[in-house]
Order: sequence, then structure tokens, then C-alpha cells
Amino acid sequence: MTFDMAQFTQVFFDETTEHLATIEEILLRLDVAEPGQEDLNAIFRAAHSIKGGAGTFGFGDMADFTHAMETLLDRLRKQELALRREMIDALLEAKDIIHGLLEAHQTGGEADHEREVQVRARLESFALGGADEGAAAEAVPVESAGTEAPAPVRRYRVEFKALPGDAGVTNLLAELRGIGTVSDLEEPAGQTARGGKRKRAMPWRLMLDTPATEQELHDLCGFVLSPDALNITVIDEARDGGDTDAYGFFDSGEGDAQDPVGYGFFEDIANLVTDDDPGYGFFDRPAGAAPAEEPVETGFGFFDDSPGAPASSSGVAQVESGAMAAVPGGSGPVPASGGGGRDAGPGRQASGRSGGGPAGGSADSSIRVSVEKVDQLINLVGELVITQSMLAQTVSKYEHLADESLTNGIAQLERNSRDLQEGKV
Amino acid sequence: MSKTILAVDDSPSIRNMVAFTLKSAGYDVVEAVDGQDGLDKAKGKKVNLVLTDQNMPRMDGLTLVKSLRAMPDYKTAPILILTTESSDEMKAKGRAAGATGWLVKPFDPPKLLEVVKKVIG
Repeated sequence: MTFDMAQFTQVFFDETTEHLATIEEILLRLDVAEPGQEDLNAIFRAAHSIKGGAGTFGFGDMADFTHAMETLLDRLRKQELALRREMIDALLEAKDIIHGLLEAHQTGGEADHEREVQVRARLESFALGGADEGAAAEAVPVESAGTEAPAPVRRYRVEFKALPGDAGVTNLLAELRGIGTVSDLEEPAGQTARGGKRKRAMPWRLMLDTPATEQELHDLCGFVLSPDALNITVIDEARDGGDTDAYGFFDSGEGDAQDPVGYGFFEDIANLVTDDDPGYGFFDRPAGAAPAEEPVETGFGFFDDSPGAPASSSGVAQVESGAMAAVPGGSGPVPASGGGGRDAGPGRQASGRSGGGPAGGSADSSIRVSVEKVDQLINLVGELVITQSMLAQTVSKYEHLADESLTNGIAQLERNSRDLQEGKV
Repeated sequence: MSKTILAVDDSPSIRNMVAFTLKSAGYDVVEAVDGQDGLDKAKGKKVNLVLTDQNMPRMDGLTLVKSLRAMPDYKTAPILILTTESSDEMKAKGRAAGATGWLVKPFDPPKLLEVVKKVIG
């Protein structure tokens, strides 16, 4: 079946025009000193929707530009940055830029790319501003960037180790290009370790000219790379590093956790298509877990990925071996290919008790356990949880008849299963 | 009987696209404009799968997932979060809320159908 996305684009155009009107209306009435939280949320959501729609309907330039706007709005709504008059001006200009891009797509004309680049640089400078409000208000050296005076640009050499073709790195490179100029990129060719499908981390090298501080670069890269795999050297100190009291680019853990849809590595459509990462996954919850016939990210192991890293192809490889025989939830029928799961569940669960014992008991002292054993354990826990969920569902149907001790027992089982699934594995 | 999918997104264009795609594949689709609307429409209805956006006015996707999971009818129904954010934090949050899985935006119709088919056939 083929789909013509064009049939939805008119709705998207209308919708975007409305969002832009909303953005303008709110920006014009915002009190700079005390912007309303709901207003900030509303503008953020509008920008977020434009970005999402633009990405979906193939307007990558709009999605890309709006991302810069969204990033600033996200920090504003989280109170990580204090709103300033210049920001409102830049945001209003950004709104015009998006409008221009929209018109260009509607009429087939050309947008003002020069202005787009300028405004984008300003948005990004603002978004990189200090972490706390007081500092942000005084010590952001890039304020004047908008009037064509560029912020002090330094040259860095960035070296790190990562998998060839790593999706996270691809996103990181896009981020770096967003804050500066990337040159002399040395990218390792795709290569597999002997005997396995798993790729090996290889050295990458690039030069970056950017107004961002070294700390900011570290923080930005820290999203994707572990600190010990990363080496950043200042090559050329063009001007003084006035903004070294920089904030953490969402590295405060808390900032990350605060809101899931804040800053994100936006995957454009091209990325999604070429990526190893299927772009979706299933949690190993009993509730409606999907069958895993192919390397969908189904394993618990997925959540062991380093925090902050976007889903990478390595994540898929990791769980491939541990893909568990997940069973669809009660409401969906079992597809033919995944049909064995439900029957296999209880049977394998019995053997799981003996298999799961030793590993479970060793939680507080570290020992070496073969990956196979761990995979087995994870699978069995998955089966246990599924069985528990089926039992719970069955019992809930007879709630009015059931003996209280049975209901209590089932509830206890549920708690234990959940603990096992979430905490102990 | 064809299966019913509840599609929750505040963006009309995305909602259109999702609904059109699913309908053309033979599913029944109930559309909702935000989490609260989704929750209202989920009540007293047999829904085989819930697809929800995360960032929405009135009620966001994660809250919707939590609220649905608290309802007996939705204890085990598959729920997927459609999100631009694919970080582990987001996934951990989705998982903690009780979602079945996630689908990264932007996605195209074939990808959507591929995922939906994996979940409810």
C-alpha cells in the first residue's frame, strides 16, 4: 500500500498557520519579568507540534529550524533560563522565518535562508545561555550575535570512540553542526569485529569552530558518548572564554528527568529510513507486549543503555540475543507466528525458578555470569510476569466470587513480579 | 470484527494521517484531541490498542497511560506512545507509566502499520 502524504499537507499548513498565530499572540502579550507558565507551555507545545508535523510530512528544513526554537522554549518553560526582551524578539523573528518556510513550501518559492541562519544562531545562543536565571541575565556573551557580530569563536579538536555509523553519533554531528562549523571529519568505516555481528568502537576525529565553551561541548557530547571515550582540545582561543561559568546542557540528570519531551535528538525522516534502529520498541510489560519475531528492541537490557543516549543501533544489537518470547496482551489475538508464547509461558516458568535462583541471590556481590544465563533469566522473568498478568486478568473476571485470600495472593504476586522485573534484573 | 484503535494527538494533521492510515488498513479508529479527550473516549468502549502523543494540552500522554492503566478495561490493553523523544529517560518514563512501547516521530504510514500489526495483528 502506498500513501500519499500530500493529502495531509494542507491540514498541516492550516494547522501550522494557527500555531504561528498562537505563538505570536502569546509572545506579544508575555510579561517579560513574569511570563505565565501556561503561556510558556502553550508556545512550546505549538513549536513542538510544528516540528513534529514538519518532520512527518517531509518538511525537514522547517522541522530543523523549529527545533532550535523549541529548544529555547523548552528551557524557558522549565525555568532554566530567564526570559528576556531579546529572546522575545528572536522568537518573533523565528516565527516569521517559519512562516516564510511554510509559504515557500506552499507556493514553491524560496525562503530567506540567510536570515534563517542568523535567527537560528541567535536562538541557539540564547538556548546555550546560563543555567540559573541570575547568571543568565547578566553574563551571556552572545547576546549581540543577532546583529551580525559573531560571538567569540574557538576552534576545538574533538576526538572520541564510537561505533561506525552509530545513530547517536549521527545525531550528535547534526547537533555540533547546529552550534558551529564541523570540518576535517574523520569517520571510521563500517567494520565488524571478528566472528560477531557486534561492531567495535572506532576513533572519530573532527574540528569544530564554535562559540560554545569546552564545558558545553563536553556536556553536549556527554549525551551520546561516555566521558572517557571523549577528548576535546582547544586549538585556537580566539577570544576570552567569558562564559565558562556555563551551565550543564541538560546534564544535571534532573533536567533530563523533568520532562520527557524537552531536548531531544530529533531524527529526520532520512535517518529513520536508513537507521538500523527500527524507531520504535516495546516494553516488556505484560500489558499488550508484542511478539518479537525480529530484532525489535524488546529486551530489558535496553534500559541498561547509558542514560541520555538516544536509541542507537548498538542498543538493538544488545537485545537481539535477549529478545524474549513476549506475548500479546489479553485484548489482541495472538498472531500466528508468535503463537507459542502463551502456551510456553507456564511451562518454562517452572524451570525458571531453579534457573533464576542463583543469579538472584548474588545481587549484592558482583560475580561473573555468562550472558546466556542472564538472557535466560531475563526471559524467564518476562514469562513469569506474563503468566502473572494472565492470572491477574482471569481472577479479575471473578472478583465478585473470588476468595479474598486469592485476590490478595494475586496482588502479592503482582508486586513481587514487578519488583523482580523493574528493580532486581 | 475489525479492531478498534484509539488515536490521541492534539495535532489535526498527524491525527488525520494516523487515522487515515489505520482505516485504510481496515481498523476502526476513534480520534481524540488530547489526553483528557482520549480518556473520556476510552471509557465504556472496547479499544484494542491506544496510540497516544506525549505532549498535549490538558493531559499529556504519560498521564493518559497512567490513567488508563488504572481502569480495569485497560489493565492489559496495548498502549503505544508516539514521541519525538527517544531517549532512555523517555522510555523509562513510558515504561514506568505502563506503556507497552513507543514509536519515534516522525514516522511514516508503513512504519506505523508495521508496529500496529506487531501489536494487534
